[in-house]
Amino acid sequence: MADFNKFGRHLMAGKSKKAAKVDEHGTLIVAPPKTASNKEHLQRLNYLFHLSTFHTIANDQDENNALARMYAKNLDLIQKKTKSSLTPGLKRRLCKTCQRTLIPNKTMSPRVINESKRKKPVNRVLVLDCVCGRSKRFPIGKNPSYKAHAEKGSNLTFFQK
Amino acid sequence: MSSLKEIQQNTVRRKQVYKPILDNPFTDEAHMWPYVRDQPLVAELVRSHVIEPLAHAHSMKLQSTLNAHYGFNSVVQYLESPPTPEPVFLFVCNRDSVPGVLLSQIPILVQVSSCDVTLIPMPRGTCASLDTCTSTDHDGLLLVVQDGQFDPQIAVQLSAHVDHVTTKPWLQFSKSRIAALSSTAAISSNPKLKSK
Repeated sequence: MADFNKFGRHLMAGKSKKAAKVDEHGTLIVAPPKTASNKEHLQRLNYLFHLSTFHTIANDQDENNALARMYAKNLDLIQKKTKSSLTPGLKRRLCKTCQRTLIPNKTMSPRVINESKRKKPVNRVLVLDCVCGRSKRFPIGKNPSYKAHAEKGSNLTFFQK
Repeated sequence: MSSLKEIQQNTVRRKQVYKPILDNPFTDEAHMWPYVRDQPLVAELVRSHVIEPLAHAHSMKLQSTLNAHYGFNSVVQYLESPPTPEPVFLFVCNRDSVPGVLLSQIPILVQVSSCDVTLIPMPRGTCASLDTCTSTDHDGLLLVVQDGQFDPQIAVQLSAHVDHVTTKPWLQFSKSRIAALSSTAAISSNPKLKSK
């Protein structure tokens, strides 16, 4: 009888469970979630980024971009407090020192430099100079087709709007 | 005797995990890069009326008839300069292996620029034909000024086949681009591994 119960339980378990998929690297494949857990925080961050960008571009009277920087500072603080993640594409638009939104021809000047003696194309670097003096450097010569993990299309699954 | 599936289950060491992530709302393809209708026709027009004359002038070491600017620095310098009366065409090889971080600067630069710029994304393979026009690094970017030497008929054809993108996307609120970023994590408490 005990054996029968055991067998029966095994059968039931087999019916309810689906066989888990495992890829060639031994990784258990899991279906992506249907909703984001901290959706409200991310929406708030998105709104702050919109505000910051709008005030940087449209408000020419504010020389120091005080309002835009305040919104971007709030974005940074909320992102850290709520442990939310931002893509590299969004983080590259913000200056870490003065919290300005980096817009070419407004708050930032982009240029490609090559500081090597022989001027090899491998040593080309994209420099984004913020008006505060801080610069972001991206070595683009070594691997022109480089993409960060989050920039690869297969790693991102957008939630339906 | 264990099945192949069972052996596979026992070798699982990592599992896929997802994390919500916020993307830049202004990097949306529809917002930033214009849609080109009849891409083969546009590519042929550019090849025959822009790239070939420039390549011919370069090979013969002659002064080019077209007012062209190559490379990121030259293009940025032109777009940041005071507005000029002549409209310009900016051909970008965004399908070739041009660094993404460099390309992401172009659409917003065009939107902010005071010049009248028509942004034209080119099909894959155009970067190789640009190599014949110049010996310097061009970064997949070619800016041609529509002055008296540029055929106005070609300019009309090019403008007609390029749909304009959302003008000033920062003036209208767009929905958040929230995505799930997939990565893997180690399975620490796997009873199957423990029993071994």
